[in-house]
Amino acid sequence: MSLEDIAFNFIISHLKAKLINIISAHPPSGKAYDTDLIRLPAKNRNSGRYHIDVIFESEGVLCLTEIKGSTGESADDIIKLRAIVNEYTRLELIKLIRKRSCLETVDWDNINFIVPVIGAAIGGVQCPHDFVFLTTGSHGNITLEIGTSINLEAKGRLSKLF
Amino acid sequence: MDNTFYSDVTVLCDEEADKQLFLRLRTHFPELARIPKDNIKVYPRITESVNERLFRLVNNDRPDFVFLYNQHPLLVLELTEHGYTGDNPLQRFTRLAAAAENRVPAIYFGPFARVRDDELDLVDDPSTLSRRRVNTDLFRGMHCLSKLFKVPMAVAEWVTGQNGKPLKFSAVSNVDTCKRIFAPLVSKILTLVTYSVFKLNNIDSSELLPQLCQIEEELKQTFATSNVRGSQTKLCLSKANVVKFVRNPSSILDVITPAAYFLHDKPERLLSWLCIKHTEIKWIEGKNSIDAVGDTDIFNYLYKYKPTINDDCCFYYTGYKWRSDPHCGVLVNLDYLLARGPGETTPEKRKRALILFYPRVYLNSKSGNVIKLTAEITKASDAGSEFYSMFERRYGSDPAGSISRSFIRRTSGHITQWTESTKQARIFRQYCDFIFLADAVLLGNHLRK
Repeated sequence: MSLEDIAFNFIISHLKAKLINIISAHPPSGKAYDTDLIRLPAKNRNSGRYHIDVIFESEGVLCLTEIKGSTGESADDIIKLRAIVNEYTRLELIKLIRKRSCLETVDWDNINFIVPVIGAAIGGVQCPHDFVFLTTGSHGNITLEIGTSINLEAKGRLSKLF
Repeated sequence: MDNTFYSDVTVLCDEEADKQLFLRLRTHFPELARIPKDNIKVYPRITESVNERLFRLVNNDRPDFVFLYNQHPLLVLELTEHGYTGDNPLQRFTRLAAAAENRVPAIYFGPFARVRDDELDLVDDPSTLSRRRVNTDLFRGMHCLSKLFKVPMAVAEWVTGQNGKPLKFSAVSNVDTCKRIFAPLVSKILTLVTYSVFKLNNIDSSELLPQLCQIEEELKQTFATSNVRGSQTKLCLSKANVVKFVRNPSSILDVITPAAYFLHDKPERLLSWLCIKHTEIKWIEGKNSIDAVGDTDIFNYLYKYKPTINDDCCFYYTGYKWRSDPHCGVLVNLDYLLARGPGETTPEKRKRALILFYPRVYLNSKSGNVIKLTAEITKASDAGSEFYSMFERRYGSDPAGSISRSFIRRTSGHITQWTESTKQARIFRQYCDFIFLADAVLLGNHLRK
């Protein structure tokens, strides 16, 4: 099992244990029987789609998460997630994801924050100011790092989850 | 026979995600919980020496699930959330055919009609989108398999939500809804596992007859209204055209014409058209060797192997690059729909010849026409070259340059050498009588014996 698999499994297990709404989860193998596979159109490109590994929501915070073996490998994913949150407004993103989801338990009208997240088994790289890092380690004890420019209210709500 | 046999049933899962799905189904359906938890496992690579019967099911392509009873295959299950019109749904057909050929029942579980992900971009209300129905040739082919091999083939629909996408576990908030999604599948699994166990133990299975009839009826319903238009690449080729094609493969352009086919859709079609124009058979395979054609009359040569080539033949042209999906499944589906007659359970017994034409693949990189073709492809953006003139004809002189440059830059594997160890080579050899490449004709396995 790769480090990416390990990180993915620990994060998903944690979200399930906390009964957090998992809107989309693409396991590294590609087969996703649990959740919708959500792909977003790339607004500023002629073609292509964004695949986001895990999308989850809790208490009005929508997290767009890319999973890596280590946070040091996440440079491209940081660029990708920044592109997504910059290309779309909050409401546009919510609308796009809502259309693609069959999940009945999300209160879509009360999502106030969208947060880009990197999940990884191994840490070591400093968390960018506009990101959240979830590091699972090899035993699944998730460490949360929150960038300095993440909204304080969102920060408080996320801190309760991890 | 009581239900104790379930303790000897094993469920082999292609990947961990498949295993987790089955374990989850097991918690919702007590009947499935009769299969011991330890008997649900991800299966490793299977070799012939480990389990020959299983090997025949998984050798070309791994099904999502295989149910075993004391090492005897009982059931193959294919499960997919995809499923659109066109060739893609047929890529799973090879696995279904392998099951039927080995007299193992199979189930296809997937949405019968769903929206495409990119179409969701176009509307605010997804419920207004029309759903794309799965290519009905998939289901028609399953019915052919069922009749020919006298083995049950079943379908179960994966229900979709309001947005036209298949409903997943997370979308359902209670056990009843979960059961609504998977109950039709689980009921068929139980029927067909029982049927196979009865058969293996020579037990009369007539008590299952109503369920088996229902399974066949449901399958027939899926293709009662066909959604397949006539194909330009899957043909019953007339005797006259077969003779012309075999002696000069480029003559197929009189049947699959540039105006109707190659000057449409993606620029890859222009590349295939160029390859067809340059096709020249230099090598021909015999029982023991591949020899230069020389003065040999190719038609007379192939006639010795399969006299029915002097008749209408089943013909499949593929313009894909060297890869396995979806065209392996398309070919096998075509075989059963168009080429096989009653009782023709093997390619050897098949009366009608099945010819594959794969002009983007060659046998020998030193063949003169292949050297010329390779050079010509590199000139795609050179005004005045043969390939460039095709782009001009397709797109007009103004954008031809930029489109041809972009095509060459972003695509790879324009033409490729035939490699025996690949899945596609194995499948084409297994089902075809004759495989026409850019420079060679190869024989199906049964003709090489």
